[in-house]
Amino acid sequence: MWLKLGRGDLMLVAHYVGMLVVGIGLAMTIPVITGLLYREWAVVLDFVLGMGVALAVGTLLMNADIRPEHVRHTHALAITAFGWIAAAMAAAVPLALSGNYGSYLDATFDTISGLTVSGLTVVQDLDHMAVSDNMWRHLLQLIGGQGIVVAALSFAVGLRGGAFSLYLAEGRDERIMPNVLHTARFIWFVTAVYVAAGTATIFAELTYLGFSLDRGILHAFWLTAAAFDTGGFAPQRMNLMYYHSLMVEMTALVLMIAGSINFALHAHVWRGARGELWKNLETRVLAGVVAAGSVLVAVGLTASGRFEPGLGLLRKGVFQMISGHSAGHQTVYGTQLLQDFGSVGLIAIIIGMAVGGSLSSTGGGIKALRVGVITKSILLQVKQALAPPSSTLRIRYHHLSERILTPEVTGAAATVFILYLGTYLLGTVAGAIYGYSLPEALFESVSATANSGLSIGVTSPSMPSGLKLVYMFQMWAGRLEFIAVLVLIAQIVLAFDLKGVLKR
Amino acid sequence: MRRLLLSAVLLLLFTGVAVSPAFGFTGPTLSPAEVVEIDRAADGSVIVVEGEAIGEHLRARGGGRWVNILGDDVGLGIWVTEEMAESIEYFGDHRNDGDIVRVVGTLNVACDVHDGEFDVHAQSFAVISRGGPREQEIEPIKGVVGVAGMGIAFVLWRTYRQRRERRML
Repeated sequence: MWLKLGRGDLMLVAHYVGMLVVGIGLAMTIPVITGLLYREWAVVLDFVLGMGVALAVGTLLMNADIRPEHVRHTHALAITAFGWIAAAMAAAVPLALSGNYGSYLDATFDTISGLTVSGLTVVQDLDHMAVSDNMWRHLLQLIGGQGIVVAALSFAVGLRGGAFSLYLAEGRDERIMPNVLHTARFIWFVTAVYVAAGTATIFAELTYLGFSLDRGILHAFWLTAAAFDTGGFAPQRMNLMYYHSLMVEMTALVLMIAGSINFALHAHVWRGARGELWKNLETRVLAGVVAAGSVLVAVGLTASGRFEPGLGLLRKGVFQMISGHSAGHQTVYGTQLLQDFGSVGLIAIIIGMAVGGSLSSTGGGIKALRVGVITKSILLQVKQALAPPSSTLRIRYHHLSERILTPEVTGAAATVFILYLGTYLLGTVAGAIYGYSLPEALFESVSATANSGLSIGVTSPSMPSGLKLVYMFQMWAGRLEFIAVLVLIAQIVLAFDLKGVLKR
Repeated sequence: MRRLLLSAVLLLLFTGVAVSPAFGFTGPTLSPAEVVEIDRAADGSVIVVEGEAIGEHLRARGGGRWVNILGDDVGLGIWVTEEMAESIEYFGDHRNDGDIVRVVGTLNVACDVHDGEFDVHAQSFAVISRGGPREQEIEPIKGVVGVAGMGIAFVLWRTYRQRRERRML
């Protein structure tokens, strides 16, 4: 039985999507102020135009339904799926005018990448980009990392009923506080604490390196936002390589790890339950995958004969492994991943990206808890096969509390796992069709779907438009963990009666 | 005798210049993008690379400075002396085009001195063309369209509020 959205439902969806677009328009105030401070008059006008378009389109959509009813789960999924696309399209307008993008499609690629905290980019001449444009790119990661719906929720902007449905539809699984509005605000509170601490630390390091006061503050804020929100954008083409600094890289590493941790776990630690960090299945799986992957990357790098054991392996190997799980900041060139890491190192990073971070974190990918649950389920199957037929086995796992592994939990984890694998494969096939080698196509596809952002060199302004669209879809679907996207596709099928057409 | 001495000095100067890495190296001039893609067999060899100095020069651990240069939209880190870094007047950013520099130096795919960095250690460094301010092209029509959009948004917002209040009565 399919629940088809009627006209009234679509009007309701349009209303809320309009609100999100208005939110994006209002957020452009920050780059406008930045541009005024830096006297970037031409860029300020780009943002004034972008703001005008976003506010006009957004308020027009809001008029579609002047007194929306309670948001049901299906509405929430449709609002989220459409909302992310509409927000990215609105956010792309000033960037498309900046001269740093080949087309509006390229600008939208970057805004989708920014909002989904992927970090893949097709920007051109980034090193000459205006300060206000860079502010906007990094601000999008800050908004997207927490979720644009969470951002709206935290300001309680007119989202009356169904707030929790919206929260879940955005790929979040846990209510951290009893009230979903408090949950949204807690997420922003944690983010504010890390961003403040990270900015102060990196600013001190950049000042030591020789940055001027204002550039130091801006770069520190941007790097922190990108690292904690597991985004991976940077204000310079060389990404973290620009700074040549062990301290900057290590601070970014800490922020990336913090960003990959479940916000619910942050709440537990915040309340004093530090033991949860070690007991939690999610953090154990993450630690295990990172440790095993780091060893494999180190083997790959030393086998190449160019890297000596020492700090180089930490800065180039372990860093990339953790970055693959989270932000996608790079301390090596894409060509190095292919030429210097060896097959074993490359595979380790691909697996790291595929697994990703934690549930309800800013990270993407399959998520460590799902991998843990599926592994435990396999273990249960083996135990059951070996046990006497009359025995009933149960397996427990710890995730914020002691839980029993049920078929429903395993089934849900397996479904998302399969959807991720399918999408990884889809992008790989697309890359191969466009003529890229298997390692290149696989690496970039996993990076896009898992919202990692590491690039082996495929993603570039000269990449075929078709492949850009595939990666945009992967980043969007991966960030929303597919369900909202599948509901949207199902609604389109129902709206155009494609099922009937296919039957006939 | 004087002529002989002068000739000898000139010969010595010429030889010195010819064998010095700054002028004597005759390999092809590469862009940073070409250096990054270079055959790994070139690791440890002397190369010539040209690019635009960007951002600022940065303190390097253990002495010296880092200058990042840009070419074909790829950046590359060059380890230089303080004096070399000070010779740069303009660094590329939104306001300025940076000085174009030519570097002769040793390529390190994974530098032993700098914890595995992909870098070039400059033996000689020369600014071959000065950068300068970039022009900002202001298009007022963008502002007009933007303000018009905001005006439309304001009217639509008022309409929304009025319709909503009417419905609630």
